Amino acid sequence: MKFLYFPGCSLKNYAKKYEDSALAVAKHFGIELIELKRWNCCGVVYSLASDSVFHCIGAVRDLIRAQEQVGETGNDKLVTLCSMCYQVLASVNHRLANDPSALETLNRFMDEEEDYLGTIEVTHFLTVLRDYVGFDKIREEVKRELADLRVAPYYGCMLVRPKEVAIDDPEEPVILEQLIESLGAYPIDYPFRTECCGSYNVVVNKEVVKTRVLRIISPLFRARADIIVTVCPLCTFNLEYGMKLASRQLHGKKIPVVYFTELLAFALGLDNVLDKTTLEIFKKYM
Amino acid sequence: MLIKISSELAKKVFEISGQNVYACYQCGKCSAGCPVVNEMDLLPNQVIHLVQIGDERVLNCKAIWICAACFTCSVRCPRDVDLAKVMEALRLLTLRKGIYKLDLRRIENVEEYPQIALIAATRKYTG
Amino acid sequence: MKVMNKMTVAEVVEEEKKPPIKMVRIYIMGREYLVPEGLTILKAMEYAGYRLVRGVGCRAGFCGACATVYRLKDDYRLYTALACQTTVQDGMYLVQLPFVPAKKPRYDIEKLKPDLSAILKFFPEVTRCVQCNTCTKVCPQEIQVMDAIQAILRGDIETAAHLTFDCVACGICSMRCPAEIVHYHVFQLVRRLYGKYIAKPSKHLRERLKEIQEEKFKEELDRLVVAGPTEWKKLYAAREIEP
Repeated sequence: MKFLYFPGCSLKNYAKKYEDSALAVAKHFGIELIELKRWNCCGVVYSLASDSVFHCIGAVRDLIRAQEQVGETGNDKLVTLCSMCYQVLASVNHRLANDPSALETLNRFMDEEEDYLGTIEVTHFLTVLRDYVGFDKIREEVKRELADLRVAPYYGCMLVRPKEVAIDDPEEPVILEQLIESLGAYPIDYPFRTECCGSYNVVVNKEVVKTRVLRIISPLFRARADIIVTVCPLCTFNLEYGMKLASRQLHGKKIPVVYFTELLAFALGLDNVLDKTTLEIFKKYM
Repeated sequence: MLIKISSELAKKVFEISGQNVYACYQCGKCSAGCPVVNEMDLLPNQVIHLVQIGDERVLNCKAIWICAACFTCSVRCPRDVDLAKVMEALRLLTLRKGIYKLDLRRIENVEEYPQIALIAATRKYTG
Repeated sequence: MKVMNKMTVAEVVEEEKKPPIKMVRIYIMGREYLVPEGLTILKAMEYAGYRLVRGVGCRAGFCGACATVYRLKDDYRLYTALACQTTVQDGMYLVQLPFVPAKKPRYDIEKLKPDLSAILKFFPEVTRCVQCNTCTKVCPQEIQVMDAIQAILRGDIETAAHLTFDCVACGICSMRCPAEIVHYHVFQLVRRLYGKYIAKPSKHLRERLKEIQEEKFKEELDRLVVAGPTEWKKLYAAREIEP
């Protein structure tokens, strides 16, 4: 099975291990993720101004790139990994499907591009794993015994909100828990798994991120979480950065943060795609 | 749909966001669920209230800049007011005048932040 | 050059048979001028009486000093060009942009890493790019400017350096950029990082430097120093030029 794939800036940079592990996992299940030949930043945050299309331009360009390559996969899907990319591309796509005049304005503005027809479907790798591989199949392929591993799934915002583009229930998502269970590990239930990490406040108002992270992880010590599993490069950065900022309040305690694809790769025995630090984190609980 | 909007500010917000703040009946669910409410000087429902009565002082509050559009309020509002969009409209009323709320060249150790944090911040704090 | 009164009668007859030079109407900063067809914008401005001090340089398309923006009759588009490389057209409305205000930050290339961090440190505004692609559309060098900025945002310094190799720093992209990025300063840093840290060191350069240090060319250079202008000119004219 083939899908077009939009990596996003972070995955080529400080979140490279997210991409490396995801591509290895996909390959393991016979899924080919074809990276768009040419792509640009999605915009990271979806512009909420309904009177302007200015900040949608970047995302639409990416959707056009996908449209140009759609013949290579035989389906209309564009797979993302970074949850911010997912939310922006999916939200822009959703807006254009419901606002023909916005689509027309954009197509007219981008006179150097072919028109966007609105036929691309933006999806997330987690959805692909659930719908095209299946958690049962994943369960069969697990090579490692992870029963002792206590995993805190952290969704953050962008995969579950707003409603229009949510990949699961905005209040009670289960997809990460199901995945963790299928790997044989134990998913921890805690109240803040879909609460905001503070997002870009980290640049201007670090205190917000510090307070947020303290709150999010506060129940996890008592719940004896071994690791936190994330879907988003900015959540990952903020969780790690927030724990550093709050090291005094936490008495130096930390919980390692890994991408869900890294946990998957480890469970499947794809150690060669994991970096040394991540591998050490996992091995600690073996 | 006929919408009667009495305050000038609420009209501007409606033009930018498509949200009618008069649909809000001040139940306070948005403020109850807001994850960053402790950092705010006004509660989210108070922000809406000031827009309802057309009090432009709301444009100078800290709350609208702390909101990072996590959409918790938006998915929970019983009146379907997309408060994240209202917050964005209030930010844009300042940013569209060419007033930037962030000086990129003054961020300490700017190179240590991931690009998505910076791109997101520039989109929300600069015009 | 031939002077008119030295022409023979036959030559004058021949000259008069040629069609008269066609003139085109152009507007420089709103003022109308008739200039001969086929002139470059730069020459046309001089023909119209402008004495160019800024906004002119190498006259060969390399220095980027003569950035110009123009519109054509019945056309909404805003075109851009290097004035020395573009000929005038009838109905052209034009103005020069001889300078783009932008201060280049000072940096020590030895202390930088060849990745996104170096760019963010000095040009954090690259993160404001909205991918409008105006920069690419206006580049007189046909550089994929937006793609280069996007490569930078991914930390791909090498791709950005290759994409921007032909930049002449005319600054038109930077004047049109809604994100207020000063592309040519960013690109210069990118190419410096590439040259310093990423590009393979040149074997030939290393060998030649060694030869120079070993004073292999000392004799030849000494001879050149005392040769004098006449000899230099002769040597310069007779130099080997790559095809």
